[in-house]
Amino acid sequence: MSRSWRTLLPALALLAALPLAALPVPPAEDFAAQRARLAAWRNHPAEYARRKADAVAFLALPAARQERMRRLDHDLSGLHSSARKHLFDVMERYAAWLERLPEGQRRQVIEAPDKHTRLKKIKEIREGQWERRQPLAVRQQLKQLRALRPALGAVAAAGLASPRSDFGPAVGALAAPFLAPASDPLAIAQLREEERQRRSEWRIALRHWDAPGKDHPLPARLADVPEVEAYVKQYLLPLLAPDEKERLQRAEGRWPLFPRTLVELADRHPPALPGPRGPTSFKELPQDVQARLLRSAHPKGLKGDSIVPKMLRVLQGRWPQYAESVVDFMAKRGRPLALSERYEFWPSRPTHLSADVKKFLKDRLQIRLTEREKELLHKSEDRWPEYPLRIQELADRYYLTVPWQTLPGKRQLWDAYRLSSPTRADGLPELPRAELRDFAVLELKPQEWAALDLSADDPSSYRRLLVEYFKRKPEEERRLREQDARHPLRPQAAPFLHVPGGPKGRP
Amino acid sequence: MAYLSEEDRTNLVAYLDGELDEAAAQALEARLSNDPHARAEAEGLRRTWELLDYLPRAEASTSFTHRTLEKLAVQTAPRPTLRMTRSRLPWWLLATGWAAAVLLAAAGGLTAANLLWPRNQVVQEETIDLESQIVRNLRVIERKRLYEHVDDLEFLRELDRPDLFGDDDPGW
Repeated sequence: MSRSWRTLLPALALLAALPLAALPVPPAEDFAAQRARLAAWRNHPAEYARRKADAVAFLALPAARQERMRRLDHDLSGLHSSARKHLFDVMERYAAWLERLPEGQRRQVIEAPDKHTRLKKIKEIREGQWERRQPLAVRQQLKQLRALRPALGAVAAAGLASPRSDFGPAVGALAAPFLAPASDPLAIAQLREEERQRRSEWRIALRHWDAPGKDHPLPARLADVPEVEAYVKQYLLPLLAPDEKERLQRAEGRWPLFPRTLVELADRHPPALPGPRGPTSFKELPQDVQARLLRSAHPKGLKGDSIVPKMLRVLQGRWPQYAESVVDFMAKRGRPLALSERYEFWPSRPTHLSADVKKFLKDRLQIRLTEREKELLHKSEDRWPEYPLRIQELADRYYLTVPWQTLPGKRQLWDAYRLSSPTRADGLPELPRAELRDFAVLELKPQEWAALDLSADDPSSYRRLLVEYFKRKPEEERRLREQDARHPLRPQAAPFLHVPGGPKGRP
Repeated sequence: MAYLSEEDRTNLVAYLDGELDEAAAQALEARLSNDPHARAEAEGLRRTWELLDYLPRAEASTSFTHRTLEKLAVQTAPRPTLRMTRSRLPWWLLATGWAAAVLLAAAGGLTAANLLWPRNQVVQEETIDLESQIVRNLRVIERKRLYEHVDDLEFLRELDRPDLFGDDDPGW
């Protein structure tokens, strides 16, 4: 055997052995739980078949598309549990809508080359669906307006292009409003908003079906609810943005639009918490707050702006610094009185809180707090907005809703005008419905379903199922709590919150 | 790149389950006969589909047979041949010979591997590999219906508007 062959033969043997060494890699032990879950699905043939088909289809997808879905899952899992649950609800509605679309339209959406085109197509189809549901008169009107649109456009262009003509500018000005996006009669978004409004009014009206026969009138304007009038004028209006004030004004005289708008805006701007705007001068403060400040500054009862403490005058026009200095002034005078006798206005210690919030603190929040958290809350006293924001932050941490005072009177009195009925289970993180449903299918026995009285039509089923889920999975609850603490729901409040020993932040 | 449309995949799944009507089955077979890329993809799907029934036990089946696609002709590529002489060779011919020998050895190794591992063992390996893929992606697979047509978080937030899907009002 030649030298060449002596070298060649072992090399060839080695090369031939290489494929034999390519042994399959066994699944990692870390996947044991997922493997068990996969095995559990086999006990539910219909569900298993669906997942089997989904697995086949998923693995057949191009690698980039698989990666896109993994990325989305990863991004969603990093959100606060409430935000994640909300977005899953959005995806549920979107998927159900897609499944019901006629095949041609469905393809247009799913085969769109990029997300912008897809979104545009979705909007287009939604608008078309809306239009088809409108009464014939509205549809015909829209059709006529569309037919007129090119002519109106030409008229406007010609008119505006002939400024020297006697009629040109006038004609152009007449046609222009029909073509301007903001007031375009074809602005379907506007019409849809009005439709949504009508539907919500109906929902409220149905709750008051028997009310017209009763003694109390249905409030359609501020004058109908005198106990609320002063609060709205002195406390609420300074917190509202110009467009919000306009909405409230436009709703005057219309029931149930007026009380619904009032409740919505009041809920959005509780006077205990800082918002984007508020009173920035003595005169803008509610009257009873002015009186209390004056009594604190000059106990002998002197009157007039000139006696307003200089410190407060210096900070006029600055928000929220003006509010902070007012609270600070009261605290330094050694008068830990609430700024308002009747309302929860800029509270900075427990005695300033409304009866409902005091009860909430005592019965629901304090019992959950750690010693460190109690200390944080205590150390934020006599400072606004730190104190109410700290309450809010701790309540969020424990998934509790603070019953901040919004309108005078018991909160429940205004519930009939609130549109949303929260399904959240107080005290627990939220979970997507699909996740809970899988839990119910895989881990609950039929008798447990019956005991929990679960029904797809009953929103309270979600709460009961959630409680059961976390009862069985305390480690998952702990994990979600820790994750949510890292991703607070209201990050905008963080700059206000002063941690003892750390720098005091300001927005 | 995917060569089968979603409809094709759905049809294929129905076909593999024997639930596709005759006309549609013939159309699918014709499509697969004429398109080698689609055929390759379909073969992958078929194997996945059948292998899934072995999960999570990862056991091989002796009845693992081609259910459908064996009907399709498989073309085999011509194999290279090598002729060597006993005489002293110039260096370039020797180099060519080495290269050819390497190719032959690799082919031999693969053939030996196939002979040494019976069919069910290959299936077992594929099953295990598939299981790890499914297990690794189980959460995404379970939410495929929701995730499939959502591009990313930004797109999802765009959908979260009252005039699209942000409002759970049943009237819209």
